[in-house]
Amino acid sequence: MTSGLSADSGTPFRVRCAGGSRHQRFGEWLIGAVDRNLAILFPLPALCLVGVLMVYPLVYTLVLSTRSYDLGFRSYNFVGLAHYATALTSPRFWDACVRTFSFTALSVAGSVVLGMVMALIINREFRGVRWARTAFLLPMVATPVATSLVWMMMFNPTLGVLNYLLQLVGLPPSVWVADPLLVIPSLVLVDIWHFAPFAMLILLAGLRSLPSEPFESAMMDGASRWQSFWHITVPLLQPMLVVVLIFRTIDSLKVFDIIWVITAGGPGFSSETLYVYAYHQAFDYLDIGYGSAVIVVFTAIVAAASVLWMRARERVGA
Amino acid sequence: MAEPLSRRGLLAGGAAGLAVVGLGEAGPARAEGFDWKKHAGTTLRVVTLKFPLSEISQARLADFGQLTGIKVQWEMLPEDMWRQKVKVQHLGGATDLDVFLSYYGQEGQQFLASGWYTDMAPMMRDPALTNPDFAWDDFIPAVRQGATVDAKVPIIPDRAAALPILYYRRDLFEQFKLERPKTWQDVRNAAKTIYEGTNKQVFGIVLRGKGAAATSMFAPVLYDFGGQWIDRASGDIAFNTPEALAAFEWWGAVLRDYGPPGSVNNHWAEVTSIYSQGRAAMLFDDITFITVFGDKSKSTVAGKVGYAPAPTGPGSAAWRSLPPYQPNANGLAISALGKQQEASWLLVQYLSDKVASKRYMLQGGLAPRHSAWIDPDVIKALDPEFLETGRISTQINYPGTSPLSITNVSKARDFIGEVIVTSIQGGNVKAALGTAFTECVDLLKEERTKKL
Repeated sequence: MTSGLSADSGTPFRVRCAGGSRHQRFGEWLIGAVDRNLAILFPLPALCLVGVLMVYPLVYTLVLSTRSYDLGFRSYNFVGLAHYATALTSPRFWDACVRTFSFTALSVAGSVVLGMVMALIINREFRGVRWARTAFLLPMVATPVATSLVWMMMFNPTLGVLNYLLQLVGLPPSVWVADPLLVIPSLVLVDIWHFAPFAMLILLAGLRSLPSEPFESAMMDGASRWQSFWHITVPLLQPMLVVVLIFRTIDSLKVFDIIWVITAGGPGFSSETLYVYAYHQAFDYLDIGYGSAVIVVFTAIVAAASVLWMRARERVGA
Repeated sequence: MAEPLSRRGLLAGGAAGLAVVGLGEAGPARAEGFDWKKHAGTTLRVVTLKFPLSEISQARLADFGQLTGIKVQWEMLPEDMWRQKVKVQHLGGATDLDVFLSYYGQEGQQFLASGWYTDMAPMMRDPALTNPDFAWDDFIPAVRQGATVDAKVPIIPDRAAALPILYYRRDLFEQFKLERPKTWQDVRNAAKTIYEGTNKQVFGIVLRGKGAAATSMFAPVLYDFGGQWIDRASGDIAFNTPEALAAFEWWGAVLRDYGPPGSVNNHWAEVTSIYSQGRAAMLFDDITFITVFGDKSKSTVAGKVGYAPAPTGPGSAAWRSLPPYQPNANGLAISALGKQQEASWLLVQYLSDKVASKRYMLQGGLAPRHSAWIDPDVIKALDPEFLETGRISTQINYPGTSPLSITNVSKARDFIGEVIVTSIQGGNVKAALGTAFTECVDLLKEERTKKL
């Protein structure tokens, strides 16, 4: 087969192909198409992945939420928004919403404050600071399920170590996660213990990047340590704080493993958050349709929280 | 109707078992003429519960591998995780799960409706697939009946269904000059005496209190007090009676007054831990924990535990002799979604053989086969009080963990579990019972509509 390539190596490829064989014309068309659509083709693999791993499951969950998909009865009828109506009129659903929000508020506030304290401690140079850094980070690297099992045993009112410690310092024993009023604060305690190091890491990076001049000026002007912290450190750290708040809010809203292992939503339904509620519906009761509707509502809540924090982030210029 | 397991029945029905006992442990699985190797090279995946029976089975997997050439991936999980995993795997349509432990009384109806069980009856009848020494006839008639649903066998029982039993501390009962409890009132009195007599250092009793998990142990108490889950004739929900209320209140009060704090979170793992650490005088729970309490390396009460059949109440006579309400088998099942049914059946029959029954009995379980009950080694090794308690307990039909006409047992147990939690916490039991009753009635109504 004759090729135009050898005739004039200085001629541009497209010109050389013009008027050539059908294959050559196709090749030229293909190259042109690639050139014109680079903006689509390069992100295409990533888009496909997102489509398969995120969009498809989300759309499928939406579809399921409109079906009476109950495995106990093998039904799959279209029920429209009936599951959403059931959820919105179910006291158990609303109780789960309240618990989800209270758990998130307490956990986010607790872990950010503790993370800040830990970051301030290890931002200073003192003997053993390296050991302190490692010790502070340990909870974060441990597996949540394993640590939750340990906490579950520690919370045991009869055999657990926490009551032993309370009694050592003269305090009365507690039933911890067996008390419907204490169960959420107790679970929050575990969540804070687990995720405060994460907040610490980000805030420590922020502290290290702060300029020294404002602090020196404040010191010259006679500002106290608290005044320096409150009026200089916190405002300068705002972008980092917002990042921590975004991550911690999403994580706390989604928390499942800690609650499932320690209480499975109990006692009764006293620690049943939305995620646990949805899991009960879908995998305990096999009511996949209703469970999917709860998950859709839950996803909307997480998305709304994320958008709110993102807006706050833009406002502080993080 | 179930045939009660009497001494005479055991002897008569176990005639075949006698011959088997003489074969020794290696005999049953290695009968000549049966081809164990036909699925050599296969790998099976099993998901089961972490408890003594699974450990007996796990110890035999190497022998099974040598006999058949089949490799077994054996996953033993804590109860909640095992139950969730089996459900989630089936929901996801997983074909790599071959064999799983299943409790018919809890998930059987749902699994059957979902088509997740393989019917083992045809394989059992096929001599090319079933070792002749497997001997389905060796299973106690009531056990066989409990494992058969419309002539299908979805589960091969690994134990005889029995009522929970009362474990009591012989040393404490002797110390306080107490008789072995016969009634629920005796139980409460003994709990009070010991709790107060030990200056609250030993809890009078420990019972499950973790909502749904407690309903399985609570059921006999409900019936003994004269209550019932359902009306037997109509199948309608029927537990909103003064008798049922009294039973729920009894359970909560005895735990509140003489039980450990935080009982609302106690599942079987917690109650057996508390009991084996010597912190409680009595425990009413499943019969399978004799080994846990008898192990001196883990238990401080080894050698001090006595056994009593489930105590009685004012309503006991009316229900304890009734025929079974529904199939009630616990044991291995073969997933209908799996692709290796025949190889799976080899494993299930091997792990349900006479060797397994005998070993289980020696560990304090209630074996499903006659041959184990009349085995001289078993009779010699076990506490006569335990054997007597086990014999009586297998004669009484268990009333079910929740209203049996409801298919969604998990949901019904959650509703009823709330009443138990409320009772333990000292809340308004009557109101909670009313709520649970309405929820169960609505659920049944909804299910009946779906079935139509």
